[in-house]
Amino acid sequence: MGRDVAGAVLIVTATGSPAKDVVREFVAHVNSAAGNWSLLAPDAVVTVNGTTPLSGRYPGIELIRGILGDTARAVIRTLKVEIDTLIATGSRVAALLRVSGVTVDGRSFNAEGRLCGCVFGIRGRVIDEVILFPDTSLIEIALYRRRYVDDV
Amino acid sequence: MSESTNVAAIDSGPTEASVAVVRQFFADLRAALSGEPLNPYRTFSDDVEFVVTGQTPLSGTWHGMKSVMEDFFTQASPLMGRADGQGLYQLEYIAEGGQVAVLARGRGSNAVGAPYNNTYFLWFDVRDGRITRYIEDFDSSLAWRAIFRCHLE
Repeated sequence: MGRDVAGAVLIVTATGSPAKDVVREFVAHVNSAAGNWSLLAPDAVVTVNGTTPLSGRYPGIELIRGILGDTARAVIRTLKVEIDTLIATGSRVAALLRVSGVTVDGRSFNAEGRLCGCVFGIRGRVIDEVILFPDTSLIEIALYRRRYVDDV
Repeated sequence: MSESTNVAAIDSGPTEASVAVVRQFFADLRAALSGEPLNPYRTFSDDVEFVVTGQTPLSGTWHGMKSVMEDFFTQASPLMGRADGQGLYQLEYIAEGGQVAVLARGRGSNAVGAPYNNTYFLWFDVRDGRITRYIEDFDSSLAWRAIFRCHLE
């Protein structure tokens, strides 16, 4: 599978797995910064695991864009998502991703390229569920400049 | 273990065999946490790559079961509680060939008995009936607070 992102032109090569192809195209859109949400179903549910300011369950495009997207944009300047591995069982896809980027104040995060897990649910040619397992302590430390301090 | 995991669409053959190995790991883990005298990591290859995500003192990558047992578990075990019913409850399997992803919920406790119930994305590479790579992805921020007894400032 090859991918080329040049402006709004996305070239995504088919893999033989329609569900995986949708995920690859979605990731290419995310990286293109074109703000194209067309591969998310209007009633898609995005869940960000954990207890961070970005964590939660976001049902529907309005909440995904209005809460998750805008909250993330307040701390993340650029975001890069790389696919390490995709596997699929029917319409469910599990991914190992490398999510990295630059914060709004210019600091890189996850430059080491550590992996995180993600599950996608596919309905037809769109994504109707995303469950992301980001590095939550990295979110607190790198994006929100917080630190863990002993209770006693 | 949960009996409601979603595995209906998994093909037979190598994928099914890989899933069986991973299911055995979960069964072994629960049995061990309930006090049965067995090694819950007997399905892991001697040269396993063992990854715990996050930025905690116990996050990192260990190569080989000897290192996992001596360098990881000697530090991790004293921080964790033990009780019947604790373990990882599987919610969903996604598998293809020798690779298996499992969504799971954990029921556990810290060293002083406070609840530690995390949510997991677990990844397994399986080869020749053994787990050769294990990635534990979870809310490491919760681990900081529950297991390492820290707070955020």
